[in-house]
Amino acid sequence: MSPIVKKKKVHYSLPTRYWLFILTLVCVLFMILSFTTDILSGPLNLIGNYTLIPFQKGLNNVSTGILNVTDNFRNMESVIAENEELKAEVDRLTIDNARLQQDQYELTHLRELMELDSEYDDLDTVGARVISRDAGNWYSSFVIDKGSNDGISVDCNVIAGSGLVGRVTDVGPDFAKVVSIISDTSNTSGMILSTGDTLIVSGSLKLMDSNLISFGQLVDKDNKVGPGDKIVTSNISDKYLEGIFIGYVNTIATDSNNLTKSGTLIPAADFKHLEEVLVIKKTKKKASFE
Amino acid sequence: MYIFVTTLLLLIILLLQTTIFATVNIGGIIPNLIIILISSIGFSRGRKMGLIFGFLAGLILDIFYGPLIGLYAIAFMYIGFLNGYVKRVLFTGDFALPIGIILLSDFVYCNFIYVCLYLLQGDFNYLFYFTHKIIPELISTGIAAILLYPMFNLIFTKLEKVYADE
Repeated sequence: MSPIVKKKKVHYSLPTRYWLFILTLVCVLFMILSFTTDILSGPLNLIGNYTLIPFQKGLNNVSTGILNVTDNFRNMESVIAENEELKAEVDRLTIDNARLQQDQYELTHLRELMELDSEYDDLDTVGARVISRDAGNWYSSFVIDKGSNDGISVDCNVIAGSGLVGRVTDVGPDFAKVVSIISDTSNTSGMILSTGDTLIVSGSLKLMDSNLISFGQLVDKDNKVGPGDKIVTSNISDKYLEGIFIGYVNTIATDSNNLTKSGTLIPAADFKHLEEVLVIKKTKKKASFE
Repeated sequence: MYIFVTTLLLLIILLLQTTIFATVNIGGIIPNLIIILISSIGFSRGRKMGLIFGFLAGLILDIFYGPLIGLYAIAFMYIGFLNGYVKRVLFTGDFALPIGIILLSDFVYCNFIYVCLYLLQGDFNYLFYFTHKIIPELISTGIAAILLYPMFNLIFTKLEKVYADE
């Protein structure tokens, strides 16, 4: 029988530089994986969904509460003046509305005649609340409180008010990440509604503060496009449904190549005060398959 | 105990930054609270803890907001690691040096993000980003650090005592 030698318990810990090396490799691996595939987003989103999202939902209510209180103080006086203005506007709009309804009736009537079913008339949307925003000042993305459980999938288009906001880039069971069109990394294919000329709407951090978006690569030989023209998403985009309103042309200038034009546009959606958004459940890919 | 409290603190700061500060802010500029916390962890507990918590914070940010998983993680990880070196030369009760180092970290972080997200896309207008994003962020982070760093410092020194007693 051999004597049992009681070994001293060795408290082993990995040296810090190995930790650094391993975690750096993990980060690089993550970057490569997330750049090429989307294997990672599934499990990581699941973890995020049950840890942070519930708290964010709660805290978001607090922050909108604070915002409301400060806004109340600030706006009291202007609201009274605005009320007067709005009353006058209501009168004007009622008249307008009556006229537009007539137009609408005529339009549907004509469409029936032409047997033209507008593809996106009855968009299936789901309302969602913005619960948190990007942590820094560098990138414009936000998280909404509805996810795959509510039928949202990656590439769903997001609108607020009447204008395009962005698209879903990542989705978890109860949340979805939206990258807005004002973000520097986003390019959207659009077209001028009146002429049908296509252009590229590209977000830019420089213009974000002034609530403008830049556009470029517009071919407009006849100089028909001017400030105030409507820009909608184009038919050639593979991510965005056709005909979603983006905004109005603000400034326009000919590029140095004398072929294309570029400028800025005023978005229809208010990116500074996004609280509730509508997500269109139909994605362009699904729409083209049907 | 230390890990539990620090993780809790990290989550609170992350949630504050992405919800309340993202909505209620001055001129659209958000102070970088996470960098203050990660640096404080590095100052008080050294390289390894700074590294691990930096990685954790960055990874959470990446999942929800990052354009690429791993980008913020690598940035915050190295900030935590490098600030861990400061532990050796730091005296307790001195606030000017740590806050200066936090600002330096934030400056390095901003430049890193600029290089990764903008320069590599062919956007060479550094001066614009410097005056419109980096300087305002540094100022707001500085003010936040003056308020928050003494608090973090207090929490971590208290924890250190508890840790030593155990």
